[in-house]
Amino acid sequence: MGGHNAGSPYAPHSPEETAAMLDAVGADDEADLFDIPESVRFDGEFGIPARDERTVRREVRELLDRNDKLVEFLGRGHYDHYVPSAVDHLADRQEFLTSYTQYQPEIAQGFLQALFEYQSMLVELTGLDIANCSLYDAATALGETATLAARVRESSGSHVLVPEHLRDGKRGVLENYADGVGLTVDSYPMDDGAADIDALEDAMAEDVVLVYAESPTVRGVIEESLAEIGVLADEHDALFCLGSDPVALSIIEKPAAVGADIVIGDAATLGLPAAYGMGLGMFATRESFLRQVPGRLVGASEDESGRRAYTLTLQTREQHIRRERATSNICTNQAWVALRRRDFGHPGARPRSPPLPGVRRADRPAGVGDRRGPPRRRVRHPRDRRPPATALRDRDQRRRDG
Amino acid sequence: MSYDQARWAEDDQYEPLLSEKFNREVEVDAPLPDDLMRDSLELPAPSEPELARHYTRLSQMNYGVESGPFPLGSCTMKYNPKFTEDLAALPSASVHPDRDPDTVQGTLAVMGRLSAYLADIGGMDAVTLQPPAGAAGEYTGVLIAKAYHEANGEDRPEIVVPDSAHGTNFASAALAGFDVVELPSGEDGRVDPEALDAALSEDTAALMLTNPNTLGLFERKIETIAEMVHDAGGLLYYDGANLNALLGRARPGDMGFDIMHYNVHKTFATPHGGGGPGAGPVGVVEELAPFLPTPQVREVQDGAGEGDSTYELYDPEHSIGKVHGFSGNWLVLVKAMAYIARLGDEGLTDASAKAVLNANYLAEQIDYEIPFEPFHHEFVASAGEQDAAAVAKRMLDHGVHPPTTKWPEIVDEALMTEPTEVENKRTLDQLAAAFDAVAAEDEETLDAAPQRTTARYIDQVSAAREPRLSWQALGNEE
Ligand SMILES: Cc1ncc(COP(=O)(O)O)c(C=O)c1O
Repeated sequence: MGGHNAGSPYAPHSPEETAAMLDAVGADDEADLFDIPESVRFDGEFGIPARDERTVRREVRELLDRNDKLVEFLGRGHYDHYVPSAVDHLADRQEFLTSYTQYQPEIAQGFLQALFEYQSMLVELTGLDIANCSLYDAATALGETATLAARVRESSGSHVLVPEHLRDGKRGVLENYADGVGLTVDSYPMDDGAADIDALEDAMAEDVVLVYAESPTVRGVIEESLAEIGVLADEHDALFCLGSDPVALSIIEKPAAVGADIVIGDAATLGLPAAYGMGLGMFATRESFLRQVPGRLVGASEDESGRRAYTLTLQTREQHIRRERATSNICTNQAWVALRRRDFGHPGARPRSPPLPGVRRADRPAGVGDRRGPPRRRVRHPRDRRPPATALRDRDQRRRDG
Repeated sequence: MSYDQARWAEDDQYEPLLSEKFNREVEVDAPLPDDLMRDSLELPAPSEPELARHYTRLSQMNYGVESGPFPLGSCTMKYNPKFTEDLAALPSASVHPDRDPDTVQGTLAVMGRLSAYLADIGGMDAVTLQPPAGAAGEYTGVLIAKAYHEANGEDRPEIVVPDSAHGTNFASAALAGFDVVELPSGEDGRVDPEALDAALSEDTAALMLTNPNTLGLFERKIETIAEMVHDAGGLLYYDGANLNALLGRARPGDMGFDIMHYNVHKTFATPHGGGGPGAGPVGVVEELAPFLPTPQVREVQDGAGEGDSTYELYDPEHSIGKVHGFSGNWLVLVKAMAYIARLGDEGLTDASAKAVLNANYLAEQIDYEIPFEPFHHEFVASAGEQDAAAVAKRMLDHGVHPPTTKWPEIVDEALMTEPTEVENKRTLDQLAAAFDAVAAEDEETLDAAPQRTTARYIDQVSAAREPRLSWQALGNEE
């Protein structure tokens, strides 16, 4: 390729340019610029051959073709659905796709406005006061909810109650987050795919800081007892978190109306195809927990010329300012997926009211959704662990010897 | 260089909100009993042409890597190759997370291959692709450290973090329930072994380090540090945010690190997306592999050639469980695998060489003082008497994205600058000219900036005083 750099195709230096730059910094060689002690220098090879673009394309395409072409009915929050072309074309504009988190709001009004609109739509869908501009996925959103509950309900308890039937990934992530703040996760029984309210009431006898319920449940059932769960939570001074789906939320009773304090879920279902579980964590809550919210928040303000302008706000909650006392460790989130969701989220982008994938009434005969067996992968409990054989000190020794 | 950002405006706002332009009520009829249904749903209902124009205007009021130089320190704002987008958009990549592993052999093969690449690049023995960002990788790493010590029957409640570290290091350790011990940097901007000695104890679970650190300096005493940490019974964690400095030159595994995360939206050129999605795979040494999250991908050598092998999922023996509901940000992983394959050994090594050359060349051209040397892929200049945040606003007027400001705090009025390998000499000269022009400007000019961006200066402090976080909140005021 002419005088082009022979290494990275995305480093535009010609050999002459490289020579001139080395000269300017007073180095003979690029290697001179590295201040790495001899003993830890790497002079081996990874053994990864460079390929041209066409070859890599063919290779990855061939690999992915090994995925069986199947029509999927697996559901449970992830759907094989049509995403309109406009979503890709608009979201792929480089000004969105390649930009960074909006630390310089004056030059990032476009993305900030898009995120503000996304937050607003979640507020409309949930009936709650505020929504953030994304967490990683539903599972981590549930985990963050547990840490929030631990912060705002410190004195009243140490348990989180979740439905007996819950995706194992969600439960697994929750267990980790809960453990970090000293909470224990327990489940309450379900009856015919929905919450067993009497059993839940009994379970509330323990100190509970958070009750989690879903609608639709993992069995594809609309949870009809949400309002009762809300009352129970309230009576026991516990938070009530509802897990749902933004499409379902467009039909079912507003979570705020059934007493939900927090709504989480996976909103990737709107703008992404089934992407092996890649998510968009929804998070909406009440105004009273504003300063406890995890993740980024976009607020409306004014610029110096008096026009409405948007900016990241309440950043003193966040890790880059509050460090170990932050409401969460999250930094990079799922902003661009939120942007995609926004595009597709307009009913106007589709001719009719949204479909309700996987939703059916509890009293209907069992269908596909009920045939799924119990979770396949068990999450191990820390107690199962045994010490690994080799101590790290030995490895250091070996490294020094070798 | 000069730049005037687009400014679509109507009355007292830039592009109006969707709700202000297209507020129509949508009627929904669903076969549900009344008491289970909501009464109303008010969402904007623009047509596709209206929608396209709205988003195109918004995009024009946003700055990306292809708009111009983006030397945002610690963020590694590389060019994001287009072909990787095409690959992630292939219909064959869209698979349901609950599928039987036999039916997603392609996905598992890509994951298996990416894991192997990353293990080689970092000098690690095993890799999980599950963490969806760098901070999630840190969290995974400290959970592994916790599980490892617990398995050894040890209670080690502390994690040591240098004062120059990124905020996520502190927050991730805290999220896993650790107490954070802050390590003051030495005079030379690096870890001071004496201070480290004082911080380490039988309570130490791990030391988290970035190398080169956030000043761009290589921790020259890394072997001593590793020995001290290991002698105290702790583990050494590598924050991979700065790996773009070292590709092909040094590997965390060879330096004595036990756990590391890779930041693929930095080092491996997947787009930052305005704040994600990214991916933060974690690599570990052999002794820690049994603690990795569930499930792990492994190759089953059952065929003659490479193309014949199959992949399976398994749960590591002492797994920490899950850090993401499924397998992380899969589509981002596809892009990272394709990028690494495109560059290969030679390209990766060259990427770091050019990133370091660019930082050194740019530093040489600018007037601001740079207190700590020798740096690698990034340097931290000091704005001196000027306010670094104001310098940044003014740089916007000179048509470039500013550096990261006011961090790390060990440099006064820090301008943390990382040009990456994707800029050529000409662009670096333009960038240097922007720095120098601003360095020569007076306070008044700086305070009046920015002038040429969509929005004028936004006072973030007063915005936080009365937060309005939705169009509903705006509407309630009227
Ligand atoms: C040094 C350092 N560590 C960790 C992180 C966190 O990475 P992420 O944003 O992917 O969570 C960053 C991100 O900016 C960083 O600069």
